[in-house]
Amino acid sequence: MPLDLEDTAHLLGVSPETVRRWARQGRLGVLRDDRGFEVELNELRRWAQGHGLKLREPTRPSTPAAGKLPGETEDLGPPLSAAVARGIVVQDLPSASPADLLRALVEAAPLAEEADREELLRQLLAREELSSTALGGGVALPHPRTPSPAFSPHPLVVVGFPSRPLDWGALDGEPVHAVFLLLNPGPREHLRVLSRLALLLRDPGFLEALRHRPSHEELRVLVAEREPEED
Amino acid sequence: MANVVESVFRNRGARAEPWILAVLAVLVGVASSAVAVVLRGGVHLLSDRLDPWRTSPGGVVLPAAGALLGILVVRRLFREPGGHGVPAVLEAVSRRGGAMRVRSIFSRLFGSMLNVASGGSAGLEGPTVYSAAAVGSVLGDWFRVGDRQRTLLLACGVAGGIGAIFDAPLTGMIFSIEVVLAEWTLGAALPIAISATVATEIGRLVFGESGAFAAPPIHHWSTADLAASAGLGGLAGLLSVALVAAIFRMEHLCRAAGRRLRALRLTGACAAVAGFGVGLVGLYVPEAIGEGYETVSAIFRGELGGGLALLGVLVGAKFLATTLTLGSNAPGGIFAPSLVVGALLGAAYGEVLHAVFPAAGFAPPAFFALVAMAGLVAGTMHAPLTGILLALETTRGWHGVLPIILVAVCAVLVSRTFLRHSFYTWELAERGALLRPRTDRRILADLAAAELLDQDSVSIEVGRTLEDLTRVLPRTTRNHFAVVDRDGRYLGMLDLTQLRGVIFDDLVRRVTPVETVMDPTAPPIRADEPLLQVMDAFESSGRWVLPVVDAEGRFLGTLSKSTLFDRYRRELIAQTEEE
Repeated sequence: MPLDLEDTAHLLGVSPETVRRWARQGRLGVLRDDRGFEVELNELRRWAQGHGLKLREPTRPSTPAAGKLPGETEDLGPPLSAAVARGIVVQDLPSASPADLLRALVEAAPLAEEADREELLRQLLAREELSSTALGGGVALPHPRTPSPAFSPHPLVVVGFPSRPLDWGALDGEPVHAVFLLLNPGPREHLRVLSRLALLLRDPGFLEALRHRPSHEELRVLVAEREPEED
Repeated sequence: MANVVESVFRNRGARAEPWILAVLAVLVGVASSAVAVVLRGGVHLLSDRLDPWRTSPGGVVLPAAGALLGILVVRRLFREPGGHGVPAVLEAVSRRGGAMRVRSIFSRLFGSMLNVASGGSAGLEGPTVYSAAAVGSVLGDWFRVGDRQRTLLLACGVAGGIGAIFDAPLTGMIFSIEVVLAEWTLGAALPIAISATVATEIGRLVFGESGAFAAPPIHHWSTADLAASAGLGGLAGLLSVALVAAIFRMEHLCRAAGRRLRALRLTGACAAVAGFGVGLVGLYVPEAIGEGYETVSAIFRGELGGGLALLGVLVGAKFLATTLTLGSNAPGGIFAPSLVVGALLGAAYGEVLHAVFPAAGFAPPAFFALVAMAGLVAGTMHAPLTGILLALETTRGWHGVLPIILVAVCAVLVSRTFLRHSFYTWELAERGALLRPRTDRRILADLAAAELLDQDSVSIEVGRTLEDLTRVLPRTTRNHFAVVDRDGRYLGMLDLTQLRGVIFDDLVRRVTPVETVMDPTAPPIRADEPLLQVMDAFESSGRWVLPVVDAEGRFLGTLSKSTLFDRYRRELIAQTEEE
């Protein structure tokens, strides 16, 4: 199978211009006036091996649409909107203590069958132990100490509203009336969701809307209106 | 004396170095010629003593006894690995800065003397190369020179040893440069030439001014002979491929037999059995065993009667005997058997030409015997220049220089098509231990992760928040930070570019402990890890900055691709540019 300039450049991890120069210098492949650069895959493999170079994966990296996972039919939009869309909203959570609230929230969360909810709760409490996740403004963002795909293979935000505001050890001392449970498979996803949520929580309109305990549908609209498309 | 050399190196530096190396090269030349004299003299003396035994009924076991004793001397008495020694020299050059042990001077010297004198089909140049290389290396240690100078002195020893034993200074020089160092620089060529000159002259004083063979009295050849030489070169290439493959096959067989049969696992057992085979070959074809130079001389003098049939038998017998001897790791070299097999092949080729084209007026078979010697040597070693010069110098056949060049070149062309590496480099190259100068692998092997640490790496303890991190930021230029536990052990990496979204939010910053946003999947590199592996870690993780840790997992600093490139380039310049 003959490879063209772009394929060869991708496999070698260099720019097409470099491959063209190598061909001109007589190191690799042939440059034809009519058809441009050409090299056989087997020949390229031999050449790379002889020079101690590793070839990359043959498929060019394809980035799936941010808000669309395999198996999902609908594009759920930018990262935070997608994570919120995958989650649910739970109303009237027990408000005796953060631990009670978190236990109920974890029970209700739409997790996979095999996810260990007990372990998740332990990790959430361990994280609160470290320092409160209450940002101020009446909002807390509980999450496990280390992001892990064991709890959710993709970014997931589960929102809960306690039956009445409760003390969460916030920096500004304000009782918490909205809880965003953040579950992410890795630190990269966690940072992306966290930074977008932090942006939204700067918006007085969004904070005000949270006080009215929006439904899942309403919350999705609130987030989608405000979340930027680009990082 | 050693202190004088050391202090001159220190104080006078680069300008004095060529002069010091020149003086040391003279010493190495003298010492390496001594090795050659002991070896060549010893073999001839021992060989003469053994002659009455050879023809006696028990003579058939003589090669077996010699091979066994030779191996026992090398492996048990001197406790060194077996084999012909050249790969061990190449490995010392590649991996150990040319360091060799004192005992290496003696082990193969005596081991191969026993083996070759008793009839093993091998030569003396392998052991000469090994012992003389050790002489140069040990002298270098004596004068406390650096790795590079020691490697050069090792190469000087090789050049001197070959020069003295074959009365072939150019062969010694070129072998040393082409095969041992693989480095064509002035700085290397000068001391090597000096050592070869001194050693060869001492060899001449002891053995007289004669090459290994008397040159055939041929002073004329035609263009047709030159053209025919190209074909002979191709055949020589094929035969050298077959010889190298057969020897490796035999080695493999010996190892496999050792796994099956307990008795063959004993030191030298396989060589003894193979040696018995050599003895049997010698019973029917006595010309095929031992060093075999008399056979070559007989061909040159036109005294080897029997025609094509005998030559065919001799090629086969010599091929077999050499495979048995060298394949069973009996100490000895491949130069001599290559020369002999080459001469036999060439003579047979000449006979065929005369039989097929009786009226064409081709040169006598001795002419083709001479030129084919270069082909076999060049083919087995992938070293055309060494092959050309060895054939020229050992036969004084200077008038045959054109056909000799052609044969050597054609042989290497063919041989390289079928063999990835030469007889000498095969095993090393296959396990990645052959590091030639000025190559990527050489430079990566020399650089260690510890040398490339970013000086002002910053780590932050677990439990701290991003707020704490922002306090560090004004005082550093780094973008990557390691999160460590209370004992300093590495846990994960923080990448500022990825924290951009949260670090400017003063609320999030204050409630975010660093371990919740660190990347624990960034693979830590051990400080003593070879750079080749580090490159793989960069490649497979797709990261630009990786943490370096010690044996206990404690964070030492970060290593970035950009630093690596900068240092790689400096290292390349330091290793390659010469004044």
